[in-house]
Amino acid sequence: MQYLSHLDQQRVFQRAFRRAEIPMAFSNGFNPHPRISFAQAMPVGMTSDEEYGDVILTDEMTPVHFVEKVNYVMPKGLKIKKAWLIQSAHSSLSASVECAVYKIKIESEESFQRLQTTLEKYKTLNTIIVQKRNKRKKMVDIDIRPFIENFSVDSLDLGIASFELTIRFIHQQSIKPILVMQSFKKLYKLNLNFEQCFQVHRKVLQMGDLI
Amino acid sequence: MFFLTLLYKYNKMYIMKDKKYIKNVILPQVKKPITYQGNELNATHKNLKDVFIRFAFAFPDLYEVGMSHLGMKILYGLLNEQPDVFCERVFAPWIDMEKLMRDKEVPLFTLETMDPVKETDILGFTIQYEMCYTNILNMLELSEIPLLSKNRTEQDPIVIAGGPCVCNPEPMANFIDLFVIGEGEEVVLELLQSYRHWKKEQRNGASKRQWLKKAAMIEGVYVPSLYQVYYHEDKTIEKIEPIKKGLPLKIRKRFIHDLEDSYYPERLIVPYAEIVHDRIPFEIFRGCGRGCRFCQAGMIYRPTRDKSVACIESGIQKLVRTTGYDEISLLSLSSGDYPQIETLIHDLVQQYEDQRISIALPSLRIDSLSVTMLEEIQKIRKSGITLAPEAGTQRMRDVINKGVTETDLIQTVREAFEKGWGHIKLYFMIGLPTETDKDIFGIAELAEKVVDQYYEVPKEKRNKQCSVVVSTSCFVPKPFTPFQWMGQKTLREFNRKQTLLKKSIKSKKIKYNWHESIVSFYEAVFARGDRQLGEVLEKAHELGCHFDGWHECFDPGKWQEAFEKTDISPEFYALRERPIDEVLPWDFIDMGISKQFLIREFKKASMENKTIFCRDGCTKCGIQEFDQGWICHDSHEI
Ligand code: SF4
Repeated sequence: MQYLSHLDQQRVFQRAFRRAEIPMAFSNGFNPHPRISFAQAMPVGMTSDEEYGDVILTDEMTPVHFVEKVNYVMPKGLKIKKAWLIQSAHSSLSASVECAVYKIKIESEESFQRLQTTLEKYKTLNTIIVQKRNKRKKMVDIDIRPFIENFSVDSLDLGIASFELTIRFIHQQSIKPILVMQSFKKLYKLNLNFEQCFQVHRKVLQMGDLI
Repeated sequence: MFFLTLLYKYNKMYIMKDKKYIKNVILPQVKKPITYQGNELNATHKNLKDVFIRFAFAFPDLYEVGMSHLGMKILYGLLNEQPDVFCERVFAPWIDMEKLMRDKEVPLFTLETMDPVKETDILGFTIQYEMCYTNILNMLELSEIPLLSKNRTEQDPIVIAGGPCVCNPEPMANFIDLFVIGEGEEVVLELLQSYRHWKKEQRNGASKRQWLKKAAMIEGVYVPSLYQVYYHEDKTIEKIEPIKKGLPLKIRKRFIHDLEDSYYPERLIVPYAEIVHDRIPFEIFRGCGRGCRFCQAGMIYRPTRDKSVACIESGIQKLVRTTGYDEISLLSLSSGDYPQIETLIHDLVQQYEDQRISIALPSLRIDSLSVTMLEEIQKIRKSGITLAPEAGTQRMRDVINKGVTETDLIQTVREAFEKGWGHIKLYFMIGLPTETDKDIFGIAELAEKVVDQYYEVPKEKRNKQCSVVVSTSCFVPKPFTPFQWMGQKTLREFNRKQTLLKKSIKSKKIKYNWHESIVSFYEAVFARGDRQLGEVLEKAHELGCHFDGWHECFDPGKWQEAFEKTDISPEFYALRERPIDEVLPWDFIDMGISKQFLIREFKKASMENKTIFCRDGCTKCGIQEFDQGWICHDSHEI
């Protein structure tokens, strides 16, 4: 399922839970909404193999029963893999994300060799400064190197290069994979074409002690 | 060397117009890719091997708008219930998508299969408002289907259209092969049945034209190429006649007699993207017996037909289960007029309150609205209240037969303020027939009186904030209303009235919004236009007009150019007052209400005389004579 914004995703689950008649808990106030949250917002356009989220219920139900009921009414392309029951308040899901592994596909006019050697060079850098828009929409310089845990190029097939990129979360902060790809392209003036074909797929989201 | 192979690959993709190419290359570059990819919950998919007729249902506006439209949901479900028919959806691509499609030569495709629209058998447009006409031409062009009906070949899909706008089909007559007049549920199935026959015979050389002639005999069907228009020297119409004997002289609208048993979907597509009305729509009755003289819907959808409470409740229950929506909207032209409205609302609130599913009543009249009722439905979400007095003075409201009084309005807002509401929206029209500056001042005075009511409520009881929003739209005279002969006010006059109103509003609590008058002018042109306007539409399309209902796209300069280049005067259609005996472009269409009734209403309007609500007495609009045997149950003779 591609191109779901964070809000779209929220709605998809809300509605699925309603169809499955899950006893959701609601927030108070004039506009009560179901208490559902996700570990990581999915950037629009990205696909992924797994995501984490939690929902607060008013009645207890077994995880197996929950998964079964919800999957029965889930739209095609989305499925709940597993559920855990957490009895009391716990630290937020987003605080327990440790790292994320991405598969990135991009159109490339470079040879596999060149990609490999430049990538090795890239990884030896101690700091990689890029420009990023902060929350107040101002451009600021940040060092993205500490976030990059692993980065490799796996294949080049019919002009499409595949990369694997592991991004570490530091104090719940992380960066978008595209920032890494853009800085990589810019530093070595690589012929990578973001315009024509660029896909980001989140393979794994590694969680800490919570689960 | 390597680079060359790559280029080759893409070139081949262009030719194949590969679906993967659309998904991987086109969609990532547009703002809302999710609105082009379909696959939503409850969307229909069929094995093409089992399908005999492919029907592309087109809404000539954005996905977010089209997906909110009830008629499309009903027909989509109904058509797909037919085992050998596959109905798919098509919307107008937004500007970014359109540009890419043109650059990369990707033809317009359906959401369900991403197949080119051109590969379907029938392409059906629903036309909800005049300002989408250029979008229809644009969609035809993007589909690589000739714009003009007469230029299409046997291979092109048959292009049909329906919806409220086609009660005057003439401006679109050059582009549409066949119109469906009135409510579509029954006639569309009859059409498909006839099409099925023909498609089987097609192998033996039966032509499209032959089928159109046959279809033209079905009640409610209008095939414009079989009718000829004769004009007077002054460009008014002399007569409209069928080109051959045997064809109906008048096209009679269709309406469903038994709404209770007519088809209503049990599942609805649930979009991933947020759409304009993102909720369960449930139609509780059709038609309206109030008789507001400016309202086309109130005239053309007569008679009034209700669904029972039981039918509504069980229908809603199914939809809640299959969609998971958290809001239900009770639809009709005037929901407060539903005979058992209080019971219905009470039941629904009882049933869905715990699940936090809210109920919305979008069209409420001031006099039929009880604040207690509103309070009940807004227990869960307390939003603002919208009221439509339509005009500022009692005299003006009597002219348009909007039966509400100032006392009704003041009482309603007083009660609302007492119960803690603070935000009230008031809708008005300007440029109504016989309107004077006094009526404009009346709007400001009425709004001020509403604010006064707020201050009369004790501080501890009322909402901390008070805001009154006054909205005005420019009156557009529409076919099949008692005002169909009236000239529209000039742009200058509209602008003067808007300024006047702005100046006469004193209170800081009142905010004034107005609609741009230039759009209303062109709306008036096309609402009461004739076939000659086809040329203008073609020109406007050529100049790049599209999404004219969208502020950011509407380009008055291009429209002016289109009229100038074709040497057609828009004022002739919009501003001219037409004599009662003039042949109107839509006179050959019978919408059930009689011309005598409209003339009577027109005269009563100029005498400031009111006409009563059907339920209080029948004023003989003609629908019972139109359909011998139909009896309006909830009225009695006077
Ligand atoms: S026939 Fe009489 S009651 Fe029926 S819709 Fe017309 S005016 Fe109303």
